[in-house]
Amino acid sequence: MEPLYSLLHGFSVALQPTNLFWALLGVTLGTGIGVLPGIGPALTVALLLPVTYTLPPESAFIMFAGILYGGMYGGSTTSILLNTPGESGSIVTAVEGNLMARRGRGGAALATAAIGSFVAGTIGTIGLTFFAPVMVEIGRNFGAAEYFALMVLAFTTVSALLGSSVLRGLASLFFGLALGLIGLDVQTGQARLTFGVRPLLDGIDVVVLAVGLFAVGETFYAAARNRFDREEIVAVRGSIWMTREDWSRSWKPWLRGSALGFPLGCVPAGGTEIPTFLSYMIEKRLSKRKDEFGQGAIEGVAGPEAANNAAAAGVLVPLLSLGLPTSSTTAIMLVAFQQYGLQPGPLLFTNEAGLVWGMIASLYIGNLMLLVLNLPLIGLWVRLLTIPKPFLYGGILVFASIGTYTLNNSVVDLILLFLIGTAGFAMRVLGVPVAPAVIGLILGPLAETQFRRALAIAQGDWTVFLTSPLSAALLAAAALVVAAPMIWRAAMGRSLAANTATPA
Amino acid sequence: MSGEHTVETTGAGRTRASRYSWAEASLGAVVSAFGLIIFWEIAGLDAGPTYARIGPRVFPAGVATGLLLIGGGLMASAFLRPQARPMPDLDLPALLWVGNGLLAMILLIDQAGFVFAAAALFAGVARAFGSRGSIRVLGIGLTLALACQFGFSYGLGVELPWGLLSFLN
Repeated sequence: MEPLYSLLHGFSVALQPTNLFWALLGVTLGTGIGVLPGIGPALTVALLLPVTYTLPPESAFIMFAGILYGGMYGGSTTSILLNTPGESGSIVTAVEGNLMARRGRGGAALATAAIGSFVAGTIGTIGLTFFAPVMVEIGRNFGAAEYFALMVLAFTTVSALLGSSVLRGLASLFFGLALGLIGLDVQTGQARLTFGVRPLLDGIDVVVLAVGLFAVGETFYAAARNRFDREEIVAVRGSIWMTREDWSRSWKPWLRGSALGFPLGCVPAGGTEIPTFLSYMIEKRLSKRKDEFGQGAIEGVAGPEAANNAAAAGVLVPLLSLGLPTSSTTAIMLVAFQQYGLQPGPLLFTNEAGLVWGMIASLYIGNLMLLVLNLPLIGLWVRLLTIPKPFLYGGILVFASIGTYTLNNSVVDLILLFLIGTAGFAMRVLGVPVAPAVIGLILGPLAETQFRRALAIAQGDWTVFLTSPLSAALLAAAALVVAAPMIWRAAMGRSLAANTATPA
Repeated sequence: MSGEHTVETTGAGRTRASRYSWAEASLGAVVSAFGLIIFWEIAGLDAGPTYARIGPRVFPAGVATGLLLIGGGLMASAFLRPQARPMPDLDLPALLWVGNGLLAMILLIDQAGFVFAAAALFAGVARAFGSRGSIRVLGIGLTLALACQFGFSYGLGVELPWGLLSFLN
C-alpha cells in the first residue's frame, strides 16, 4: 500500500492553506473558462505560464490541475444551456443535454453532469493514484529507443483520432514538428530554419503557438461564423435535484463512463473527446429507452460527462509517469514542468514526491470544490453565458496579446501571433485539428533528442528501433494506427462507389 | 456538430464543394511547400562531428519528407474525392475587422502604449461581432485596458508599455 502512504504525504502538502487557495483558484478559473465558449484549459494554462514562474511549483501545478478538471465541469454547463459545446470534451453533451434543457429538464441535466463528473473524477483520481506508480515502474525500463517509439505512437494516435481525416491530422502534426525545428540545434549549436531572423534563434514559444491557434484562430472563426450560427441560451428549468428515476438511470452510465474514460485517457488517444463519443454510443445501445435518444435522454449526458472527467484524470498518468503529453492541455503542462527545470517521468516521483503527490491529492479536494461550485452555485456560471460576444471575444484577444507580448516584450511575438492565428483560422475552416500541432511543437524536439541519443548509443545502427521488442511493438502500433483508417476508408469508399454507381 | 459537416445536395452545395476541393488542394500545396523550404534550409548545415553520427540534418529531413508526402496526399485526395465536404459560409468583413484590431495592436503598442493598442483591438473585435455602439464599446475597451495596465504592473509586476500614458506611471 505504498501509494496510500505517498498519498497521505500528498494531502499534507495539498491541505496547506496556500495550496488550498491555489486549488480553489484553479477550479474556479477552470469552471469559468470551461463555461465560456472560445477558450479552454489549454489556452488558459498557456496564458498563465509567464505569470506563474514566480510561484512554488507545487502551487502552480495544483492550480493547473484544478483548471484541467474545472474545464470539464464548466464545459457541460455551456453544452446544456447553449447549443454550443463549451469544451471539445463536451460535444456530445451539447446534443442530448441541450435537448433536455429545451424540454424543461435543464436542472436534471446539469445535476447528472456535475454529480457524474464528481463520481468519475474521483474514480479517475483513484485510478491515477494506484496506476501511475505502476507506469513509473514500466517507465524505468525505457531507453532512448523506447521513448522515441512511444512518442511516435503518441504522434500518430493524436493525428489519426482527431480531425476529419488522418491526412489532416498528420498535416497539423508535421506543421507543429516543423515549427519545433526552428531555433538552435541542441547538439551542434547551429541555427536551423531561422531565415536570418534573430528572435527566431530561441525558437517558437509554445505560448505563441497555443494562444495563436486557440484564441486568435478561434476568434477569427467565431467572427466569420457569427452571422450564420444562431445560439440561444435556454433558461434553467426544473429542479437541480434529481428524481429517484434520474438517479437510477444515471448511476450505471456514470460508472461505465468512468470505466471507459480513465483507460482511454491513459493511452495516447488524444485526450477527452474519443471516450465521450464511445460512451454515448454505448449508452444508446444499452438503454431501454432508445427512442429518447435524440430527444434528451439523461443517460446520454450522464455517461459522456463521466467519461470526459475520468479521461482528464487518465491523461495525467502518461504525463506524470512517462513525461508523455497526449492532449494539448497536458502538452502545455509539460512546458510548465520544463520551465521549472523539472522532467516528468520516473525520476519525478522520487525526486519531487511532494509535488507529484500534492498535486494528485489536490485533485480529490478539487473535485469536492467543483461539485459545490457547479451544483448549488450554478446560477453564477449561467450568468457568464450572458456576456455579449463582442465583449467576450474582445476581452479574450486583449488577454491573448498581453500573454504574448510580455513573453519577451517584443512586437515580433505579436506579429507571429497574428500569422499563427491566421493559420489557425485556415485550419479550422479546412477541418484540420490544431491539437496535433501543439503536441508536435512540444514533443518534436524531445523526440529528436531521444532519436539521436538512441542512434548514438547504437553507434549509428538504425535497426536499434526494431531490435528492442518494446520499441518495435510501439512502432508497429503507430504504423497500424495510421494505416488502418486509410485502408478502412478506401475499402468503404469502394463499396460506397459500387452501391451508388448503379442507381445513378 | 454544426451543420458545416453535412454534405449538401443542392445545386449551391455542389459549387461550394468544388470550392472546397480547391481549398484542400491549396492546403496540400502549402504543406508541400513547407517541406521544400525545410530541405532548402537544412542543405547549408554542417553535419557536425562524426562521432555524433546523427547530424542536425537527419531529423529535419524526416519531417520535410513527411510534409511532402502529406501534401501530395492532400492534393491527390482533393481531386479524387472532390465532393468530400462543403466549405462553411464565412463573413469576410467580420474577418477583416478582427485583422484590423490585431494590426492596430501591433502598430500601436510600442509607441502609443498598451492602453490605446488594447482599446483599438477590443473595438475592432467588437465591431467584427456586430457591435455598433462605438462610444460605449470604446469606453469598455479603455476601462479594460487601463485595468490591465495597472493590474499587471502593480499586481503581478508584469510591465506593459505605458507609451503616451507614461506620466501616469
